[in-house]
Amino acid sequence: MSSEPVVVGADEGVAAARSSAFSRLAVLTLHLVRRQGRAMVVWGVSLGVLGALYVAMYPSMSAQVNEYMSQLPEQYTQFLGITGGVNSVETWLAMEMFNITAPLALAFLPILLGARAIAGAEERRGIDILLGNPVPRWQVVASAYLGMALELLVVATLLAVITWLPSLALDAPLGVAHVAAGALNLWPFCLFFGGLALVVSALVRRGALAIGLPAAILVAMYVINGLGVSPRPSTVCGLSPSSTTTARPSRMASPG
Amino acid sequence: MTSCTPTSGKATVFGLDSRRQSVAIRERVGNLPGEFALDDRLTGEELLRFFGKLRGVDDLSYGHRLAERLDADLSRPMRRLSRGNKQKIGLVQAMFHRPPLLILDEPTTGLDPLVQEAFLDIVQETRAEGRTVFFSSHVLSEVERVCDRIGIIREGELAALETTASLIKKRLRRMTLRFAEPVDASLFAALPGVEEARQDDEAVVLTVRQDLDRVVKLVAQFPLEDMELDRPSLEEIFLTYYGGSSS
Repeated sequence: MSSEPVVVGADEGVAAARSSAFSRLAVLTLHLVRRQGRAMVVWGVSLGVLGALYVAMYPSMSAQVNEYMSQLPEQYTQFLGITGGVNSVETWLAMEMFNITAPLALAFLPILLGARAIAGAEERRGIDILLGNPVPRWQVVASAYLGMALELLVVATLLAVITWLPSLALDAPLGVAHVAAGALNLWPFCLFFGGLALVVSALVRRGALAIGLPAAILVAMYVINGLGVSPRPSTVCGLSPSSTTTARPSRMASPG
Repeated sequence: MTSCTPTSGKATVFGLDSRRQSVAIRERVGNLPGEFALDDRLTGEELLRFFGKLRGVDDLSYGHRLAERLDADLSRPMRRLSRGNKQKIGLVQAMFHRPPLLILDEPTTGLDPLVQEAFLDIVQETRAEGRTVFFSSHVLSEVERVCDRIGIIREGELAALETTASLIKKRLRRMTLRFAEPVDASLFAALPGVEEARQDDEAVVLTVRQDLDRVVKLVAQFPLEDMELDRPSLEEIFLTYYGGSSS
């Protein structure tokens, strides 16, 4: 146990404390990503396993699914992002996974991360220590967004790989590009909601609101999207950004 | 620390504006909030490295020495540490970069007496190095031991700023006396320096400002069974001497 006093000049600590904005941003971002390591694996593997199950089920269900789809109203198949029937595993995956389930589920990861970044940290009294360091507030917000983007990318990659692997056992395996496109489509979509949660979190500083507001908008978008393709077209259809998302996988289903 | 928006006026630290130059201030300050949370999943060592990287401090040897002196366990995740052990990690993160100014809010909360001693030694060393330590406390003994000046803040305003010596002169003592036979408290009330004398069940409770000698001599005239002498808190001293006014 050492108890000798260490005499230092008043500015010694300051001189040693010079750290560029970029390196601080990188340190903060990597710290956040590292902290979420387990969550990334859980989300990526869970959604990936779900995708793999859909792929594995396709050969035994394709005939029944096509018959079922042919009986659905055109507006409903349009809502699912499918036009022209489920004629491949890619279309099936797009309908079941990438159009509805994955965007709805995965968007909650960045929403939770965004809400926790400022409001959650304040509520847990975790931000005081962080802001006791020479870190500008914009870097705290920017690193939260960058960290969220990286984490989503990891989750999307895991999802794509785990979904694709069982298709190797099929007669016509999934194209890597198709799965990658489907998974990567989720990235900007989910990032938008994470960003929204982060903005609400920083402005309002209430965790529940930072989660609730983006989540409500996410669900409302799907509802509006459904109304948009209903037999009586509603004026609200133009408000739904998710109509773009639902259209993409259907393109994925019939490449080239 | 520098995140409050002033309703009016401005604050400066080292001549730097607390709003516009808050990052520069925080480079020079080590801070321990009264209530704080550290990342539950990280160990003290991981947190120390993280804060070191944020501050551009590569040499963590002083931090490790502080941890050793405070008996802080840097190897366990925060979620597995008690309140007191988390407080030690909080102290290490505030001090490891040897800032010219330390701001510590109730730093000894949750620490056992031995660690409190070690912490107060570190504060004295920091002071001897010419660095400044601000800390808030309700414990008169630790304030007496390490502080040069004491500021009393009341309802957000600096109500008093005195040297420790001058405040100690104003110290009150509370005596609780238990006699073998009933003794009238008013006998003590008549003594100079006795602020208050009252009967509390079978005990006589005195609040003495000065002239303790006369009180002891009067007590000695009666068969005494027990005597307790309490030190009042800073808050009590404040209330006694500054009362309802904030002059």
